[in-house]
Amino acid sequence: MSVRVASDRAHEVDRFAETVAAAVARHPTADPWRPGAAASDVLPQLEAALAAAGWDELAEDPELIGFVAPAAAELGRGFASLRPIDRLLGGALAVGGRLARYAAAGDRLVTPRAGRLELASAEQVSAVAYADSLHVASVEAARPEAAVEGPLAAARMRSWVAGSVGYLAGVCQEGLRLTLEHTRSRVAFGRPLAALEPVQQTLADAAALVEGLRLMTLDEPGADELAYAGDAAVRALSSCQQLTGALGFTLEFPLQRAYRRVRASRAWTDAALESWEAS
Amino acid sequence: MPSDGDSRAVYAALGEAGWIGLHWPEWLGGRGISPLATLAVEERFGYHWLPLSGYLLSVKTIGNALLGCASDDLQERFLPEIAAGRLMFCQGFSEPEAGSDLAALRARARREGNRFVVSGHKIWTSSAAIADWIYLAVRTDPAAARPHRGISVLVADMASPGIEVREIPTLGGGALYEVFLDEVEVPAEQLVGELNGGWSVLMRTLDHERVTSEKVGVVLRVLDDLEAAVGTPGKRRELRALRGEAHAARLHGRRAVELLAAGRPAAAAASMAKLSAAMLVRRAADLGARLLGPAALVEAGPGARVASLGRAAVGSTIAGGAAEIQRRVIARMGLECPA
Repeated sequence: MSVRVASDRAHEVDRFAETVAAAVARHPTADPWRPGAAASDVLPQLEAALAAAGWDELAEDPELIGFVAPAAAELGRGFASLRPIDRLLGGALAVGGRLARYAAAGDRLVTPRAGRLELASAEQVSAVAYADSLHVASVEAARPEAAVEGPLAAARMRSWVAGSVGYLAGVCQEGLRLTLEHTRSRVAFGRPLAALEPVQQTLADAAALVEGLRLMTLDEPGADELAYAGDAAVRALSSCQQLTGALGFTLEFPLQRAYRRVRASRAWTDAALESWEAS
Repeated sequence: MPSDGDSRAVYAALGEAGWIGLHWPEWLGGRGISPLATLAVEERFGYHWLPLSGYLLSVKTIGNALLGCASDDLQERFLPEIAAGRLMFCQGFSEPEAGSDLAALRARARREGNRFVVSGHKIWTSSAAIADWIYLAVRTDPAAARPHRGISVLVADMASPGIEVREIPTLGGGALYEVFLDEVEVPAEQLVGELNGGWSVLMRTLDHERVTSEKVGVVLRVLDDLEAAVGTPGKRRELRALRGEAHAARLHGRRAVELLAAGRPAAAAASMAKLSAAMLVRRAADLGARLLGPAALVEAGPGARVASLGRAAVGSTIAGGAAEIQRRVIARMGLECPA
């Protein structure tokens, strides 16, 4: 690719991400989650705006892979639903035994397994109380359909992987931003928390992890990057939780949304990657 | 690990083959291509387990710093010789009582006519036994209002009368050195940058030193070695995550190099590159030990690289600036935390 073409492409990638960011800002995702209850963060208005922007075209066109992660990062930054990421795969992700996320009766279930995408139509599901608002359901009955195979399956999986990395990067960027804001403004021992050496050391570790994830979004991340991103995101946000103290532990401060999301996300991405690679 | 090891023969061979100074201008012995190409090549040097200490100091750290900070005369004198693999530098920064607190350094240079006279004691100096020249941080104004205002950088011939070197063997398998300087005469034109303006030269030098892509290569080689030992999905996942982490460290390095090449502030990015590569080395050594069990410590045969990395990894979060210092730089320069 010539320098000129590469720079035009980078500009288009930025513009698409900005379009997604604007949609996320126009349709903010509230936090519906409460401990011990089933919850869903699906926001139809946001999904309609994404569809209008061309989101679904990202799923199968290998030429567009560079657009996925930067745009997904904007969803993560807004703590938006993960359902648009799973749309890249073609339906509700079903990898946790009987568990599926964002699954209702009549929905298509997608299970990445051994290099194929196994499909099924959900016939009977029951909502599950879950530690994050991923609309998780237990699938009681499903009717198998023909699997997606070959290059199409690989393209969809690649797109979902890149989207998952980008999403995690965005969640972490927002979590770190909230943490920096708190540590710069909260005064302890007569100075901002951020002036204390142990706080600085922890912030720096978290910031290096988050910057690494951000750089990955610009580099068409793959499965190795996703395996790492899950761990890095949990590590970074655990540090952020520590630095925000009791405030961060409350449901009134949004950091817990980021922490819940990266823990839940890692569980699903690990399961999906392992299943995809099973022989 | 071998990237901490030393070999004049390997250095000379790299120079003769045209692998040194790829992004330096052609009239200074380079090939005028992108610094990102140099970064990628250094990663491959690490992957191929080359002894690199003298290269990393002479080329990646001091050579690049001379290119940005030294007079045209000094650049023309040194860079072509470095690029040819004929001239090797070592770096005299740390002292027994100045390491992480580098501004506390005491080695003294006083001006006498057209020369400086240097006395002091440098320590933890890699490659000092085989280097031709030393890149020295010295105090030129002991009366400066703040300690870092009275520092300058000089380059001195290691064959100068008054220089003595003592070897200190290390856990990593190689050696560090002490360098004793007793009334060593250094011509005044061998000053790098401004008199008493050495602190900014040192900081730029450290920015270059802290991009350690060779360590990413070293880890990728060990991960390849470990691939055969991986049997279960859990272990496969750990290895895969570490490959992802290696890529993140690589991207931090690229980011720092892009900023350095653009002449923009790069301290926080360089410290992120250093920290991420150092932690990567520690984690790879740890994973190797867990995957191979007792065999991880056999220092010959197929697991030898894992055993070597296991010992050398301890130094990765210390050499070139301790991890705690990298975090401090990131917090203060990158996150604008108050000092």
